[in-house]
Formats: sequence, C-alpha cells, structure tokens
Amino acid sequence: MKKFKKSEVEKLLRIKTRVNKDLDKYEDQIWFPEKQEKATEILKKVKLPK
Amino acid sequence: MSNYDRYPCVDISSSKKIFEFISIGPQGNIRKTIKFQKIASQNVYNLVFGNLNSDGSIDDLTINNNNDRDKILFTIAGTVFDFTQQYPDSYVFFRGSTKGRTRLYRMAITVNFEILSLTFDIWGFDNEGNIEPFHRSKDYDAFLVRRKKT
Repeated sequence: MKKFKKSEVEKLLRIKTRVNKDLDKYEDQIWFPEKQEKATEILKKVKLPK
Repeated sequence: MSNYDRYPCVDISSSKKIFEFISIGPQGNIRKTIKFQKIASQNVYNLVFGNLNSDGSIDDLTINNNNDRDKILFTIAGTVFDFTQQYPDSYVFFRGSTKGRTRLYRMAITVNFEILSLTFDIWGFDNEGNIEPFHRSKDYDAFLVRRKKT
C-alpha cells in the first residue's frame, strides 16, 4: 500500500467550492432536530479530547 | 472508498457550513446536502447529510442506488476537510441515520485510516457513550474528528 505524505492527502481531500447564496436560507434551520438532540446528549457525557 | 474518487465541485453557503453537490448515476441527478450544525455551548458541529428535496425538506433515509456510494463518502470527507480549514478549532461529530450507515462510516474510516489520520484526529464513541481514539477493529456508535494541529 502506498505511503502518503500529508501534502498528498490534502490534495486528495481538497474540493473545489463555489459560493451559492441560495443555500444561505437553510442556515437558521435545524435539520433533523432529533439527531441534534442525540448528538448533544452523547457529547454531554464526555469531556472533549485535547 | 479506496480510489479517492470524489465529486469535483461542491456548492457552499456564505458561512461555509452548508455544502451541496449532485450525485450522478443510473437513478439520475440527486441533490446531496451536508450541513455542519453547531451543538449549543460546545465547539462541536454535528454533520448531517441527506437528499435535498425540491420542497426544501431534507431526507436521510432514502437509498438512492446511484452506484456512487464511495464517491459520495470521499466527497463528504472533502467537505470535512474544507470545513475544518475554515473552522480549524472545531470538532465534527457524526453518526449514521441507521446502524448500517454508522457501520459504513466506520468501515470507510478503517479503510482510509492511514490517510485520514495524517490530517485528522479521530475518536469513536462506544455504545456506552465512552470516547476513545479510533481503533480500526472496534465498533462505534458515533465519531468525532478534528483537524490536526500543524
């Protein structure tokens, strides 16, 4: 298996983005509130790693 | 998720917290949206992902069979990379909408652990809610990643 360098990985992961302001209308919405609640519940029990 | 193929161009909201791309395959063109939603009072964002319907609703349970699962997963990894570039101190939390999907995420991380761990710190939550550094041989209920400090 090929050993990657960090810079090569970053190149693989980097995506080309373009701003689409139509997406801004979703900013204030909470999608899947039940998932948000579950995530909050799971995270509440742990101390975040440093 | 081993050939690192991904959708090349992704739309992004002004805040760079919402990403959208089009899945292209035998079932047609399907809008896929990823949103990083802040968890109150913590520097953690919940990654949610699904199909954006024409009425503006989001659906994370439909199975599209568009033959591009790995390409979608690697595109999502790309959005996490981009998001954590904008918000480098933030953690990203994610879990599947079903146990099968959570298992799929775990497999995708496992297969690509060598490369992902060069860029991200990765943790897993076990079924008891305990957090630990991600181990390739273990099952997890949820995941947490953060961009490695340079």
